[in-house]
Amino acid sequence: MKIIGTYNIKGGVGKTATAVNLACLAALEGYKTLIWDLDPQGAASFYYRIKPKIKGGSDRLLADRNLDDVIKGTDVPGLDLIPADFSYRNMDVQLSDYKKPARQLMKMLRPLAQEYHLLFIDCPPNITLVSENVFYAADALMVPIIPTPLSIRTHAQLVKHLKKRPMLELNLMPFFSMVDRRKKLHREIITELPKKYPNISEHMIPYASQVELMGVHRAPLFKYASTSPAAKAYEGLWQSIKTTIR
Amino acid sequence: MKTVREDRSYLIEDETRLQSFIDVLNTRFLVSDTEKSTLRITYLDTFDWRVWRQGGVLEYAEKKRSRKLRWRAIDNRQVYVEFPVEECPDFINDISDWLLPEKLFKITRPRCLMEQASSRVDSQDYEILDGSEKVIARMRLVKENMRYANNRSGQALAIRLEIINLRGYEKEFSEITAAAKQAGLAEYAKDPLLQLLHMNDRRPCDYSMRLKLQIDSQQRVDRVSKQILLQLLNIMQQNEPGICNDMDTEFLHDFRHALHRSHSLVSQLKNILPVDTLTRFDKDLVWLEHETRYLYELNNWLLDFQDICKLVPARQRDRLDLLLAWLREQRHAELLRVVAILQGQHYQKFSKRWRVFLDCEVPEHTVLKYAARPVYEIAGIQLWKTYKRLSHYNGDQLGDPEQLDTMHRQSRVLYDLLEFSRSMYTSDSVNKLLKLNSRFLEELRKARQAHHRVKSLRGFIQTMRGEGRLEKTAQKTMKKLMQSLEAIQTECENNIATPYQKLTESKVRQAFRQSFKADA
Repeated sequence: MKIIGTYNIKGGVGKTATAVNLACLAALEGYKTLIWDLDPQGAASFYYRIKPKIKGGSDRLLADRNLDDVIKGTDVPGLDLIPADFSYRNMDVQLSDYKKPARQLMKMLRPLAQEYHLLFIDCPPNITLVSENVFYAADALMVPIIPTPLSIRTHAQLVKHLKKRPMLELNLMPFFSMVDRRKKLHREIITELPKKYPNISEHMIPYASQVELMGVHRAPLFKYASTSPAAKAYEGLWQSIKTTIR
Repeated sequence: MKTVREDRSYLIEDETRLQSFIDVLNTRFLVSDTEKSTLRITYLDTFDWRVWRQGGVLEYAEKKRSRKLRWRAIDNRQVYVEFPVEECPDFINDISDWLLPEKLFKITRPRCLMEQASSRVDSQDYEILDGSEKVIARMRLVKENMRYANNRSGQALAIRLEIINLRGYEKEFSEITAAAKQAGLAEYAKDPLLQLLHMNDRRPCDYSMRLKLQIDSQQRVDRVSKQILLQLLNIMQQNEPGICNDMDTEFLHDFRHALHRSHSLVSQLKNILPVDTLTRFDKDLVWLEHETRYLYELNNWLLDFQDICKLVPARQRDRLDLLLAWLREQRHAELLRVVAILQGQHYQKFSKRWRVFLDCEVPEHTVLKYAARPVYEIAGIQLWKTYKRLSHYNGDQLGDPEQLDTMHRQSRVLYDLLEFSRSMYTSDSVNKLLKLNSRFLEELRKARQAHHRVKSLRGFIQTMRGEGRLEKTAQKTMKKLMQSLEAIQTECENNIATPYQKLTESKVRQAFRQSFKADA
């Protein structure tokens, strides 16, 4: 099983939309896929019409290490979801009570390896023990960057942070998200930033109201606007991920 | 991991019953029909049905942009593993490493996958939604048309309704299946592939390298011998197309195996079948063994090449790429030569005449001394004689290559005779002796292979040097490889002694004597 996290220290950059749409594409292509909504806001669970609630909360989940009972099937064939829970907001505190606290999620996920080909983790926007756990568990980290100075700054912070952890076998995959080519600043940044970070993907997700409508349809983009430019952009991104994780 | 409830399948004999089931469901849930789709399934297996023999079925399914390979159980249809593929794989190791199930790789290796049957599945898909319009289960009305191997026309299977369980909604699934029962739908769990085979009166595993013998101990030995040789000829001929089309290397392996056994049996048949006929055919068998040996050897080198590379330090492995390329070229040329031989007049004439001879009923009256004797008697004599011959070696000095060859031949004859005769003796005693001899034979095989590998590598180096295709660095690495192979050879030779002692110890000798010696 390959584990892909969608992560950024900054919020509102399109992490959830990326996880939800890429997981959907993977499942439609035949990969047995799981998505873990690790963000207490529960947006990914909401998009998939699943109640963001797990019995006993994160405390019990960490203690039992049994994800099997909380997995739910989604409306997309081949795609299951571990719902969010509001108690996830305390997860970093709970994790610190364990030995090797940064490797707890990795241990929890191990039994699922036989059942799923891909796991997408939709991470909360911060840098805590929960994100450290994701860094250890994941094979790749998708980092959406809005072409704005603040977003670039948080990306630089992440790169610096990960450089201090050379033991992590983590493939960092930044890409531009919510790109509005009408804006001069966006155009400049998408030209200049890849010179500094050559690993930024050539596939960028445009700013599109179709993506915002996911909340109205409560479904991934491919259920209602599969031919939209945003959907095509996610498809391009998915194809490049497939090549990388192989 | 918790076991997920299995999906259910129901027989749909008339569509009014399906409608009444949907009506029942609509009182509690919402059933929406989504789309009609067509799925094409190709049932894959190796030539010798290895997947089937291990209780599995391999399906390649194609639907719109999705292409999947599914490995499932035959009887309960439990899916072991399912994963996307770019195209229908020829070999299981064509699949990306991270998706490839090791177990399946071990089952099929090194055989190619062949289409055994195919089907076209037209389905109407339904979603079952709860109050919040969340899908809680799926249904599929399936009309399947199957075709066996190369048959042109397909056969329609019974129409079925599949209800697919969604994880985390087990309670709702129970309600749905209860409603199906209430609507009078009968469960239908027949495997489509089993149904098709049944309809065509076919059994999988039509081919096996093993002989299917049920010998009556009082049958005449000449008749039984012909029966065995005919089965061996059939095996050879069944493998010919696979060799000629270069489908996989196992075709040549099985062909040569049957060839060896034919030669080994023919050499036991003096005074049982006419000697001049036997000599003539045996000459051709030996010729054929000789002509196919080099290709077989090259196949083995290429099959084991990755493991062989591990015998040299990691940083030097790239230098063996030259050898790999050269071996591939040699194999290509050698394959063409062998195919020409198999399609050539000499071989075709031989196999035709051999078949005519074997098909021909044995004469009622014969001048041949042992021909009309019961097979039980002759098999016993030969078994005892061969065992005695094999047990006279000095157990401490078994490493001589020539002696290894002779011992291998004798052990092989013993193995074949024991297997041919298995149905005539109490299976326990023969099985035990067969096991002991097999263990010894296996060690002998390893030792001979190690010996041949050293010898052939020496030959490769010489030829490559002669062709000016050996760089200095590559030559050095190949010399290192030679040293490692020689070390393996010594180790293998040392491993022969223990199984040999076990095979020849007095209680085993006693068992052989009691089972097979006429006056014992």
